[in-house]
Amino acid sequence: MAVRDPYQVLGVARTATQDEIRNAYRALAKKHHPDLNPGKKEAEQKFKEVSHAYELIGDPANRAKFDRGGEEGLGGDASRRAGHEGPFYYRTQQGRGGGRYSFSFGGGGAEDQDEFIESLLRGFGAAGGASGARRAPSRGEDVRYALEIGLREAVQGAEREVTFPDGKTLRLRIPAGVRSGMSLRLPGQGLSPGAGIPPGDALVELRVKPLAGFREEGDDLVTEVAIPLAEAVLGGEIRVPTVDGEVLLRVPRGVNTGTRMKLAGKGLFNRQRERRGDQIVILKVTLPVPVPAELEAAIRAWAQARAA
Amino acid sequence: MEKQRYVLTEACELTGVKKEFVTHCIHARWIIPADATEFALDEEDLARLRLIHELKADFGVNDEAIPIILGLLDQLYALRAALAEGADRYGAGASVKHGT
Repeated sequence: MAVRDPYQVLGVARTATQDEIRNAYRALAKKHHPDLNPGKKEAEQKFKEVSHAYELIGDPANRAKFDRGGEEGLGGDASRRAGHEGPFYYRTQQGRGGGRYSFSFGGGGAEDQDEFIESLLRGFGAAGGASGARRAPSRGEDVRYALEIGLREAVQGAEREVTFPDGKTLRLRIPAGVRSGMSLRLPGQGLSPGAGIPPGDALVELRVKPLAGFREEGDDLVTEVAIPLAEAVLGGEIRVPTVDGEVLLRVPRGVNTGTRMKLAGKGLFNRQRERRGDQIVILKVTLPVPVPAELEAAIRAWAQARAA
Repeated sequence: MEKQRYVLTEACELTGVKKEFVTHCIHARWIIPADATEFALDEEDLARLRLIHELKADFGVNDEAIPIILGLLDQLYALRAALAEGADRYGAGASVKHGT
């Protein structure tokens, strides 16, 4: 490889010390190394030139030979590394995925990788380009909406007619088991950037309104239910409202205010566990008002017996 | 087509590095030989070997920094490949490509 004067290539004087030559080479090599400038043809060319120049004068013995007889004076001693035989590393990595040295984004499987790429491209408005040039978007932007639904609708699912800001109405199917913060994607219901370009999607974020008398505790729903004194003392069945409708709850003898009972599978749906939580029923014993004379007499007798 | 493989002596000859340097790179897991049973390297390994040698010999990078640089470069190349592939798949044009 014939080069310009290596001193000129490295930007040093002919009287430069070896340290000065090495420092000049390192600075230029760092600047032009193809792996730090992947895709820049001129960087690769420049690096090869700088690298070759350093081969000629970077070593005192080679430099002395070069100074005496030019490149030919070296007799091929500096030929080995000069041409950087073989490809640069970045060239071996082009268009690769999953090789020995490949890095995986997303940390998961192919689906995560796809999501990563898609989100990245969406982030660029699908207008990526190493040159930075703007390209026409391949699809319209997604539009976000919020929709408030009832707790029963969230648990059981529902169909709702929604009207978008542009006046368009759409029948929306809410699947059973949704929670606040979840979004429904409506393909093609987003913005349309122009003729011939498909619109983006509409993303409807759901907000679940609390239901009077029901409190959320994780996946469980907590309710307070009144129990008449007779059932509390003797046991029996009481009616309990749930999001799925009223159910009969069998109560054992001798429960008190604050006793917690469980209605399995009557809580909120957990998508990770693929099952519903429970409804926790907190009992609240109630006296009949006014207190019936028979009850008062019975309690009086019981109190006297206790005192005796 | 079967990829060309190079044994240790050939790899040293082609890259101009010493045997000890190659084995050091393999033991440090900077190079994962294409054929681990015979310590045989392919073109990709040789290119990576040259790069490591340049980083150390020419740029003065120390052993602690080598895996950091290689890791960042591998991320960069994987990102470029993923973007090029994604741009094709999602119709953003094939403008995200490595240079030629």
